[in-house]
Amino acid sequence: MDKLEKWVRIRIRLVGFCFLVAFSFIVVRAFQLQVLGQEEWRKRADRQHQKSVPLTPKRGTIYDQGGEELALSIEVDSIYLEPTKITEPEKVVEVLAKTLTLPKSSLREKVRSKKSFLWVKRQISQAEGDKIRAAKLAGVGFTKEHRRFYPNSELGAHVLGFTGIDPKGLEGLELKYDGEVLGDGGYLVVERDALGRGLGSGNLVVEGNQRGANLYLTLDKHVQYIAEKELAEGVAKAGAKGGSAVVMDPRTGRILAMANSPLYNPNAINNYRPSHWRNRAVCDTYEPGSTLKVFLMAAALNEKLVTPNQIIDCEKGSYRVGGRTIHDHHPYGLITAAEVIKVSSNIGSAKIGKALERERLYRYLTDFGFGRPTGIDLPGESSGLLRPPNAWFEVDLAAISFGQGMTATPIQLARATSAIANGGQLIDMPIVERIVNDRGDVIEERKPEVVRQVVSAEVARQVREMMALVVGQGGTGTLAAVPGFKVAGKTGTAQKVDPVTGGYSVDKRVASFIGMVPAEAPQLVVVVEIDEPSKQVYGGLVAAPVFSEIATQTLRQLKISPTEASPAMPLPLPPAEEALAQPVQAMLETPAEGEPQMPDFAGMSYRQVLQTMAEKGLNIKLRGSGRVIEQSPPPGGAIRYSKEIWVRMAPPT
Amino acid sequence: MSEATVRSLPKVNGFHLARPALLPLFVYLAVLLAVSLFFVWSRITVVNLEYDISRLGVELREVEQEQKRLRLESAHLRSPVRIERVAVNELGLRMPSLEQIILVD
Repeated sequence: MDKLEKWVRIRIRLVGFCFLVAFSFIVVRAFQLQVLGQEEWRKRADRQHQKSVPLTPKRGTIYDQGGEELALSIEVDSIYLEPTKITEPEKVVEVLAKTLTLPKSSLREKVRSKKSFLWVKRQISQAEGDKIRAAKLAGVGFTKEHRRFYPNSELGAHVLGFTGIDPKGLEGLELKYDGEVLGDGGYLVVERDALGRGLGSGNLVVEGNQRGANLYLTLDKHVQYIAEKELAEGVAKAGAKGGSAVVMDPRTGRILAMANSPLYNPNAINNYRPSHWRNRAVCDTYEPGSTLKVFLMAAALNEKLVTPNQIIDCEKGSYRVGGRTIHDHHPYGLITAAEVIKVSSNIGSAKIGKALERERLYRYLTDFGFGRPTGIDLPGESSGLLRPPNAWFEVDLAAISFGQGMTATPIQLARATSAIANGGQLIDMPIVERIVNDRGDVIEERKPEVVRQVVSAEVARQVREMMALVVGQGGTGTLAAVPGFKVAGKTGTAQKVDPVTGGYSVDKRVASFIGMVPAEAPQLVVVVEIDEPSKQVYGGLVAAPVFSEIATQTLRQLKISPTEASPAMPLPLPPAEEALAQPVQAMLETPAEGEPQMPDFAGMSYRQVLQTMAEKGLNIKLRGSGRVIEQSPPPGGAIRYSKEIWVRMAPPT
Repeated sequence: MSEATVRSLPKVNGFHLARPALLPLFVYLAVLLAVSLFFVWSRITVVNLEYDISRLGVELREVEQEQKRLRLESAHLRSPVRIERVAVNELGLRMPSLEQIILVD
């Protein structure tokens, strides 16, 4: 019995010991795994149930000054093949070739390839993506990419530029502000379960620090459209090679529009040659010709070397300087300095230039911003050519006085013209006014910066008066007139340098017009440049009408009231039956002597009511839109100050 | 009564055989079970909510993209070229002459 008990005890202890050994083994192993190897195993676990999705960097949106989108990015599908996973090669080729209109032969080659990843087509449309998804093909994958869209197509294309298929800016603002607009790619980390379903919230998103910032430009979409449309028309009419136009607010230096011709569509850059992409307003220089006389005159007036009424001898159209003879378009005798600008006399200008002499003329021209880059925030800006004064011969001084022998860009001319328009201040204002990050915080805000006072406000006013003569009767720029406004401007026609001979070309010209409106206190500066017009060549015939159109429509768009009365034409009244019958005039109050009477507004349009209001000095409340169908008081009724006067309108049925 | 029974139980192989008090054990087990079930239930709920969040996150992204697409379309429809074409060709409107414009401030 004792023996048995002893054996049982030994067995119990033996079993207990086995358990102890097994348990300590577990503890040691657990310690190894949980404590010593913690890092490594946690990493392995994360690798299994976390999936990181690389995000393509997203570009910010570009807005105009009114907050209208000019360029924006949208996620689209890109489609790729994993040839090793394809089970039905023929079906894949069939479906892809049909939906994406790709050649079957190249697709077959891709399908047979041994590679593990091949792009089929990047940035496809949604409809295409849906069709291919519906076919459920093995080995065909989708990935999201951001594609840049320009909703207004050609509008502002030269300023905005474009991006490549990888979201990188290649031209224009897209290139210049690539660092700001293009966000960091970053990763999206998602938790996944064993079946690959997504788990958890977005707090695991590890994204790049910076998402693309949005740009707000000084451009106005509508003004830009007007400028582009009218410039294109002017270029076509003149049979010209190209052209550019800049619209500026001279008070702030803000560029409202920068148009170039020919246009291109940044949504389909491959259909255009690189020459179409050039932003001529910034990158191309040309000899400004007679438009430069304005700045010459400003310099001479500021130095008190001439007065507007001073008589200058224009030598009957032929004058020898430094061994060369310069000519005027028409021979002039004794004319005033103001008339030199009005008729654009080269000889008169050469004489004023001589009075200024090299150093001073050079100083003023550089003060007006010629010969140096304007520092505008667009890539590829040219500074124009203005040689130092010690390299000027006598004939150069004369030539530069009327704008030959030096070059300038349209943007330089616009900036300098703005200085004349705003009372002598040269103002710098970048085209990107505000940079805003994706959360809506303003990162950077730019304000107009006055670089210097080039000429006095009084001189600027005198020059504007002279420029107004140009557009007035007998001037060279009569076609630049804008109805209802007084315009100040200057025409220019410059000969182009022939790249083959190095001399001036016989038939190649650049026609230009610089102008401002209203002349008394300009709110708008427009510079138009037409390159190599073939039918008419003169600035006054080719560029001035474009100025007139752009200015007229822009003033309307910006709601600037006419400063000059124009012959008013009464509007024909619409047929009477459009208006409904008036309510019975039972409560008609006959007006007392001298009391104002309510006119009959029945059937009038909004505009006609407003006109009548202005004529009679009434203040009427207008309700609805369309034609007047009801009014209070009724026609002929007395207008009492205590009573409300209103008309109700409804659209004609 | 029960105390008497316990006291009278025999001793086998040096081990006291006693009838265990089952009620406290059951109560304890029941509580343990309840707590465990609650814990499991809460975990399941959390996991389910996480699935929901993940699904809603995807949905949110999709809707955001949809909104962007619509924004693009609206910007496209508002492009001045199109507006002018529609106004002139379809609605028969024309640019007002100077006299026809009245500025209202």
